[in-house]
Amino acid sequence: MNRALRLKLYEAFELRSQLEFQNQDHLNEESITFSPEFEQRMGKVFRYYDHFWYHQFGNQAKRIAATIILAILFTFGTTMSVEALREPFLNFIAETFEKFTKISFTGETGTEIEEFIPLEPIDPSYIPEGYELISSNIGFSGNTKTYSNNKNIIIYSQSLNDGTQIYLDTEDAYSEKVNINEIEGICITEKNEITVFLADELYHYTVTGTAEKDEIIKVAKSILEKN
Amino acid sequence: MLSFYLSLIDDPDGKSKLEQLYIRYRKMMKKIALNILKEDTLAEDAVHDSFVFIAQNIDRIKETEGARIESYLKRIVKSKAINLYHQESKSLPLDETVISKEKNTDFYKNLDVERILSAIENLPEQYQSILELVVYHQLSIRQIASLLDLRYDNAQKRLKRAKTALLKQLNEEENNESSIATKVV
Repeated sequence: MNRALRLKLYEAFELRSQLEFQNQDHLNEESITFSPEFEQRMGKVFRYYDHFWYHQFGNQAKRIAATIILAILFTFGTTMSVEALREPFLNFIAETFEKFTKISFTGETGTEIEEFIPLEPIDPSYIPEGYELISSNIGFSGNTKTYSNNKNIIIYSQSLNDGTQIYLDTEDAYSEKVNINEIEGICITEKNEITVFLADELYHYTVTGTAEKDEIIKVAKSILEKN
Repeated sequence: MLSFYLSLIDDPDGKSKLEQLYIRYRKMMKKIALNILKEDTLAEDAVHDSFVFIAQNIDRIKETEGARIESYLKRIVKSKAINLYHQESKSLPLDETVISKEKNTDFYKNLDVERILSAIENLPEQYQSILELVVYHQLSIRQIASLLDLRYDNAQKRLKRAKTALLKQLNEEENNESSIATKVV
């Protein structure tokens, strides 16, 4: 197709879409309803594709995991390396690879529950002094809050635990176990960023930011206290 | 990792693109699917399949409202509904009048573009669809093959046929106009 024809066609399609857009009746379709089964299926779509971690690490991590399963390795409490270790937690297993950490869940999680359960937002009750909420994002599968004191930032996220594996970017990072209110979690230090990851049967909780490590842990602790 | 989080919260409405599209356009999409499939469950299947495709190609979505995205969603749900229609009733011919129902040719005012549009709308639905997806929405052949449930080479062939049919339409219109002009002279 030559360029001139392609441009003409583009203009024609553009015009058609603009004119159809002016006819907004279709957006007022009050009579259109959806079955509970449909809502449930869509909930799964959102959980899968709209997952907090999915877009960033999903494909790459799966590819790496599939191809280098033998090359894995790792350690907790020491610096990241290609030597490995597998460490069970209360309800999840973390495997740290050279560039990421994979978290697999054990026991019953949201996977076992067939009906669609909307996320119930749980926010930390403690935020360090001087920090203000600058962004809030509550959706089908996740709840994210961002706090800032104009110098540092703390980002809290809560997402549904549907039992799927989670991949955390831990390249050039140091990770260690942390004990928060008798629940074990992971603390990842990457340059001046600290991330604490926790999970229960329904949700994953992550607190990350450039604030002091103690403050990040206090925020994480306040989530569990509230829950 | 922090930059990743920041990219997530860059959304002023506080909801993901996928959710915004779902909330805003799901009814429109179901209505279009119902027009084609006439059956509620199948229409919901078409909407579901559409959102799975959208989610798989979410990086393509730059805006969550407006003429362009609406046109894109309509094209996707129509394609998915037509796929389902063929799967459900292979022996029955597709009712093109139903699919053409949403056309708004009365609005088209620019003569030159109108001529092109007229030629486009005289094409079979499947040719209109592939031309719009390639030229206007700029999907790759691979993405189109996935959307239309076609093999890659069949998607290529369909695009070629669509171009040929369009050129034929345009040439015929030009020939008709020439013969009318000759008679007048």
